[in-house]
Amino acid sequence: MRRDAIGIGWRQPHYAELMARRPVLDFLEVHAENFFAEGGAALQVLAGARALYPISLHGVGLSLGSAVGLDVWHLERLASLVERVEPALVSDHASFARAPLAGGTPVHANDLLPVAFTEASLTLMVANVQAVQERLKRAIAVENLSAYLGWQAEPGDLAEPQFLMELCRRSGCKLLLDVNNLMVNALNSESDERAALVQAGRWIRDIEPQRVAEIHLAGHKDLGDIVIDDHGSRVAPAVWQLYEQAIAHCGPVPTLIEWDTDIPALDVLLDEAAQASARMRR
Amino acid sequence: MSGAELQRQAALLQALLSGEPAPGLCAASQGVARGLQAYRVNAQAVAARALAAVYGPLQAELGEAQFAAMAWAFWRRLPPERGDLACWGAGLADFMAQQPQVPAELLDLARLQWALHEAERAGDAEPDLASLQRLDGRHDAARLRLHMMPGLRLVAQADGHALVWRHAWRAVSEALPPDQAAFMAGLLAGQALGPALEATLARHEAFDFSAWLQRALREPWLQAVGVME
Repeated sequence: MRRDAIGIGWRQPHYAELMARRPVLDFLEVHAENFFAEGGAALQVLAGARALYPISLHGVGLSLGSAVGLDVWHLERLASLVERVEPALVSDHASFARAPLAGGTPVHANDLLPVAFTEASLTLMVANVQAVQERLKRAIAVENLSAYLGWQAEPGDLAEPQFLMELCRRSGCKLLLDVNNLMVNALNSESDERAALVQAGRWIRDIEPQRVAEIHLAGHKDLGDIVIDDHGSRVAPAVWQLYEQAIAHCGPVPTLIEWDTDIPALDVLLDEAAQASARMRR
Repeated sequence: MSGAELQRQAALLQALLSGEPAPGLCAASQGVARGLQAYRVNAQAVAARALAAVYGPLQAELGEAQFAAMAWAFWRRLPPERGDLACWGAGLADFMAQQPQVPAELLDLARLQWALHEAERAGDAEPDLASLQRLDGRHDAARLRLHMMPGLRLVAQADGHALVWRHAWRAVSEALPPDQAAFMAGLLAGQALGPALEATLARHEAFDFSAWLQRALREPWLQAVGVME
């Protein structure tokens, strides 16, 4: 995929319209788990899109940080989908979701829960990422989280950017840099937007540009006492500013507009994609 | 596996279900309780959305608020085990049956909706037309096995059985008369054609296999005819 590629998250309300209009886009991104069925209409729709656009498979359920290990069933479904779609990119998150309750069978929270930035946590995430990459026979990209909770740091723990860079070095994976997630975390920990921009900008400067395989952009919602990463609105002005900082630091990087709740008209997503393209080329 | 990390992660999952913060958690300015609440609110929304995608008609019967409350109660009782939420919800009818005063028709609806959901996600298959020639009367029916299309299910209902299958890309259902239900139950249980037919005719003399076969080919219900070893 070209380094200046621009794509959008392709969700069910836009399946038919996008296939009919075939707008100029460099790639489409779908949630991998939405296509885990053995058969059926969804896979046919995806095959149709694959004939027109490169596809990025973005997972939300691999649970790469789980201490209990990977769910083999999940990995096999993903491998089957990768074989079928031959995606341009495969990605998931630096999070966990699976753990046993009361020592029993692991349950899956179906959320992106924060891992501790400890050496032990890093070691197990490296092992999980390597297992995924060996099964898929390709490198994946791992996304930084928006998190409303964290773990109390102890001496020897890593900062998040260092944790992710070390993950990339040891496993050979890439970073999927979600700029909106950075801003959400910064807004939740700083007193104002200016300070949040400074904190998030510092985070970006702490990463190695060559490790970044993709950037995600999305909207968030300020509830007053907390900022939520809801992917339900246009990219906020401060996130655009941070995106320009990321491009200045990394150079052109394939960029995606994500929109998952209150999904608007397709033209709104295309307009956001055009804005990302213009800002990347400034 | 790191025992400390496993313990930490299990504690957070338990905290999401119980609402009681786990030790070692921290949060920025909003505080741990608010951060935990954000995850719990999201989990509740995810639970309702995931079940509504499968059980839309049930949601319409119960109303959004009651359905959402049931989805969260079900999530806490039987949390998902997979990272694909389309796999979660199989046990909803049994869960509902344990609740007081749930009408039988709602349990029927739930069982039917899950079967429809599974049919739409079943593997794709085309009828094996060549294998159908084994029904030409020259083969021993005691050794013929009728394989149904992926996703086809017979669903028990309070007043009989409904058949669920996929027609093109959409799953459909239909109440089956007792003779057809008995015959299909035998086939789906793995009986060969001969014994399934004999058992059906013993209880339902008027069962018309030729009419059934025409329908089975048209829908299609029948995928292939195999020979049992």
